[in-house]
This record gives sequence, structure tokens and C-alpha cells, in this order.
Amino acid sequence: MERGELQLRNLHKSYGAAKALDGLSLSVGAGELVVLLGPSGCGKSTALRAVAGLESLEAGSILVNSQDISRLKASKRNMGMVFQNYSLFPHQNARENIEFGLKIRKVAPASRRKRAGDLLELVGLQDFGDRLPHQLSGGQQQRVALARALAIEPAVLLLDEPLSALDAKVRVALREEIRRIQREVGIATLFVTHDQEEALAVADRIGVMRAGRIEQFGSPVEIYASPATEFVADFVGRVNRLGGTVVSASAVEIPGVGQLSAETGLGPGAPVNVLIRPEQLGIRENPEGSLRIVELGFMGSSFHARVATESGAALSVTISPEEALGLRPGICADLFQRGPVLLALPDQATLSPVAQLD
Amino acid sequence: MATVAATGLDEVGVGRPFRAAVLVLVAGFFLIPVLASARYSLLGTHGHITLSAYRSLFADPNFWASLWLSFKIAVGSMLLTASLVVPTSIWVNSRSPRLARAMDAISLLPLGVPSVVVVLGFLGAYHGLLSILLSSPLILVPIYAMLALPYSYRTFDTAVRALQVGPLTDAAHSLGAGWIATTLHVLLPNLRVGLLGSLILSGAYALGEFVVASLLSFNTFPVYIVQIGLTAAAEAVAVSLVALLIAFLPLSVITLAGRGGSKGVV
Repeated sequence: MERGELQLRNLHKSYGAAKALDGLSLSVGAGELVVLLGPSGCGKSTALRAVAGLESLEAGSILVNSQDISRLKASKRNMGMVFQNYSLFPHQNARENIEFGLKIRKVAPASRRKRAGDLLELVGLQDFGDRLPHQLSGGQQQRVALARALAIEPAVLLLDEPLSALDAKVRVALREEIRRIQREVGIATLFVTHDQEEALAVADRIGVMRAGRIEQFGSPVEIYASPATEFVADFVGRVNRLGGTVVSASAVEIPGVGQLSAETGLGPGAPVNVLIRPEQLGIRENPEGSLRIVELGFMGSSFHARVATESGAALSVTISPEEALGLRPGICADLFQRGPVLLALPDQATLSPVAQLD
Repeated sequence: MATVAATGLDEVGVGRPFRAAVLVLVAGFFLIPVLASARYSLLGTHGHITLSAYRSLFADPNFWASLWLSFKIAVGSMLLTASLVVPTSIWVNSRSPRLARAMDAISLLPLGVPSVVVVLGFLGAYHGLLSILLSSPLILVPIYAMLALPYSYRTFDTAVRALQVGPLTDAAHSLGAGWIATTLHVLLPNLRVGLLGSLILSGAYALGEFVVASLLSFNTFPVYIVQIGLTAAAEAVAVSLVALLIAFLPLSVITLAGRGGSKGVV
């Protein structure tokens, strides 16, 4: 299989006044799986469809192995694409669907059948080749769609929210399956999703998109642990946003909560907003504590606590089941810090004592 | 229809006798006039059975000429309908939903405007373009294809809308199929029933239309039926029965073909 590399350079596209792509640039290395992550309307699907040739561009270029393909018709681009709604051809069975692209390429029937058989096996559906799409479950249909996309030995694999139409359990199983197959085939892959958990689980690198451009591009760990902007911190994972004042080079005072250690780069007295993940905070019972537990939600492997300051603002804290022993809503507690803050942003605006965001 | 109603009634215990009664009633409603006509066409002037009406009919060269003419016009009308309706409906539904609504309105126009007006307008508008055709009865092909649009376009369009043409064409394009291959190998196989329905309506319209053909003085089959009815009663009934048979045979063939398609066996 041809090992493709994909580069997007400065893509522009607008729908009327709305800019869907506003100077998007991105690269996907050979064999790499890059996820485009963002809220709906951020342009991620437009970007993917532009790569496939299903959407025209106003400016910018798309390069596969350094060759500009942005003028080619969709049918000439050799992209394997998987759609959210499967888009299998209803009149053809699974095998015929997989063979479709090869038939168009005039591949001989014998090698076509062989390849379809191999791919059915790759996606774990060797006994389902004769089934029509409507005789398959959603997850099975999407496996067929994946096999169909891979059958043409595409330079790049494009996945447009491939798991969004499936229920939770199938979603997790299939995303692991997609990752396994992608590694096995070794194909450069662009995967679009709005689900941050999905993105973190499957990606080599994630591009977080906002308003038609990449807000941050990095490994899942980088994106999660060192978000470049407040938008990224907020969109990927849960985060508390606490307003406070700088007390020293490495500490911030949060009214009603206490001191958090944070390198702000600001002088003492400067107003600041601190972003910190719920799991970097902890609580312990203290009858004199300034915080009150409002709610304890059991999440399976952990508890999610919501605690309120005296002024009524709330923040989220993740605690282990052991730590949760003896805690219950209504009791008072102290907050402590387990790990670093994500971001400390200078705040010129009037400070509200504690604002919460998750 | 009768069986659907009866299945529902079975559950409340009305059952088989009722179903049979409905079936007999409906069959009688349709068959009695046909049988009465058949009897009349077979009765000679002296009250005994004879095939003379049919014999003189089949011996009349005008019968065969008008039938052949109507057949050609119907086939032409179906071909023209297919070549207009298929690309238009697929294109507007996959590329431009706003145009799809406009096409809806346009396709209904022939219903709102009297056919005589349509024909005069048509002949006036296309006078230069179709001048070679004007004296030939084949001018009826575009006229019938247009007049039947309210039925043929909407029938096909409904099928296209039900199919999610956009996502399927996207998938086909990404797999390397151009527009023609996509239409032939992906869309039409799934639209077969809708297309057949659309063509049946267009063909049936062309086979049965009288006003325009008579106005333009072409001896199509319906015009022949009316003419013979003025002079020979038994022959007129006989020719109607033959027409019924002629319409029934291709319709059954097409319906059976369509049923095969809906099972998805291609």
C-alpha cells in the first residue's frame, strides 16, 4: 500500500458571511492518525470534505505526498472515506459494497473477490459478506463502510464522525477496532469528531479546531495536560475556572477557597484567572472548612464532588472511592491541590470571587 | 387494499367471509363492465356469437397504423421523460434543495394550465427549433412528455428523496465513481421502482391522450377509437377491449420487474 502523507495549507472556505475554514493548516504523517476535534460548526467536517473533494475551497492547497490534489475531482483523489451515516449502497450486499471501488477501477473479478474477502476478515465480518446493509447492525454497517474505504488502497483514510450514530458500548469497541485496523494497515488517517474522549483515546495527534482554524495541535497528553488556550482547556476535559489575586511568583489566592500554587508570571496583586482540572483538586472533611459539599456523584471508578464556597460559587473535584468514604452532601470540607494548574490568565475585567466552568 | 383491510379485521374476528365479499365486490365492479363489453362485441346483428367485429378490426390497416403510431409516441415519450426527469431530480436533490422546491412547482404547471393552451404555447415557443418535427406526429412526444410531468416527475422525485442521494453520491465519488457511474451503478438500481412508476405514467398518458392529438389532426390510437365509435358500435367496443389488453400486458410485466427490484436482487 502506498504510504501517504497529507498536508493542508491555509484552507479558506465560507458560507455567505460565515467562515467555515479560516486559514486551516495541518499535517498528517505517514501512518499517523490525526483527530480534528471541535464543537459543531467549527469547520472540522468541512475540512474533511474538502480533503475528499466533496467541498470546494476558496483558497489553500491540499497535498498528498507533496502533490497538490486540490484541483482534482473527488473521484480522482483516491481517498477512502467513512461517513457518519454509513452510506452503504442499499442494493448491494456487504461484499459488493466493498468491491464497488475496485469494480470502478476495473480490477479483475477474482482479485476483487479475494480482496473483499481479506477485508471482511480484517473487520471481523467474514461470515456476513452476503448480508444486505439493512440486515446488519449499525456497528457492522460501519465496519463494512471501513472495509469499503480501505479496499481501494487509498492514500489517506478520512473518517467523518464515524461513531456518532452508534450507541455507547459499540462506539468504544469500534473505536478501538478502527485504531487497530489503522495501525495494521499503516495508513495516514484524518478522523473528525466532536467527542473529546474519543479523540484522546484514538489519536496520535489532535488538532483542536475553533472557528475554522486550529487552536492547538499536539499529542493527546499535550492537549489535555498543557492546553494552549482557555478554549482548549475548556473543550477537552473538565476544568474549573477560579478568579483570584497573585500573592507571589508561585501562588494565587482564591477568595473563599485558599491558596493555589501557580506560576503566573505576574506581579503580586494582579488579578488572575486560574484553570485547574477537577482531578488536580481534592477535598477532605473539616468541620471548620470554608467549603460545603453540595453533591457527590458516583462515576464508577471515581466520585465527582461539587463543592460550594460561602459566596455560593461551585467547583468540581474528582476523588477516589477511598477518599469519598465518610463524605456526604452537606458537610464542610477543605480543598487541597494535587497537581499543577492548567493555565493562569491575567484578568483585567472585574473579578467575581469564584466562577465555575465545566 | 382489500387484503390490508381484511388483515386488520381478522384481529377483531370478522375474518374470511368478509374478506371474500369485499374481493368479489371489487372484482365485480371492475370485471362486469369488461365482461358485458366483451359479450356485446361478440354478438352479431342476428344475436349469435361471432368474431366479425374483431376480424374487421384487425383487417383495418388504420387500426394497425394508429396503434403503431401511439406505441412509437409512447416509447419516445418514456425515453424523453427518463432523460429529463432522472438527471434533473437527482441533480436538484443532491446539489440544490432550493431548486428542488422550484422544480416541484414547475412540474405541476401542466396541471394548472389547460392542455390546449400548453400546446399552442409550446408550438409557438419552439417553432424554429422543432420546425422539422412540426408536421410529423412525433411532435406529440415532447408535448406528452411535458404534459405528463406532474405525474412522472413527482413519482420519480419522491423515490429520489427517500433515498438520501447526497450521502450515497458522496460515497460513490470518494470510491472513484464519476457522475455517470454513480447514477448507473448506485442511484438507478435503488430508484428502479420509482423510475418504472414514472415511465408507466408517462407511457400511459401518451397511449391514452386524445384532445391534443385530435386537435393537431394526428391519427393516434385514441383518435382511432373515437372515430370508429362514430361508425361501428361493435368494433368500437372490441377496439376498447384490445386497448385494455394492450395496456394491461406491459403494465404487468413492468410491475413484476419492479417487484424484483424492491427485493434488492440485482
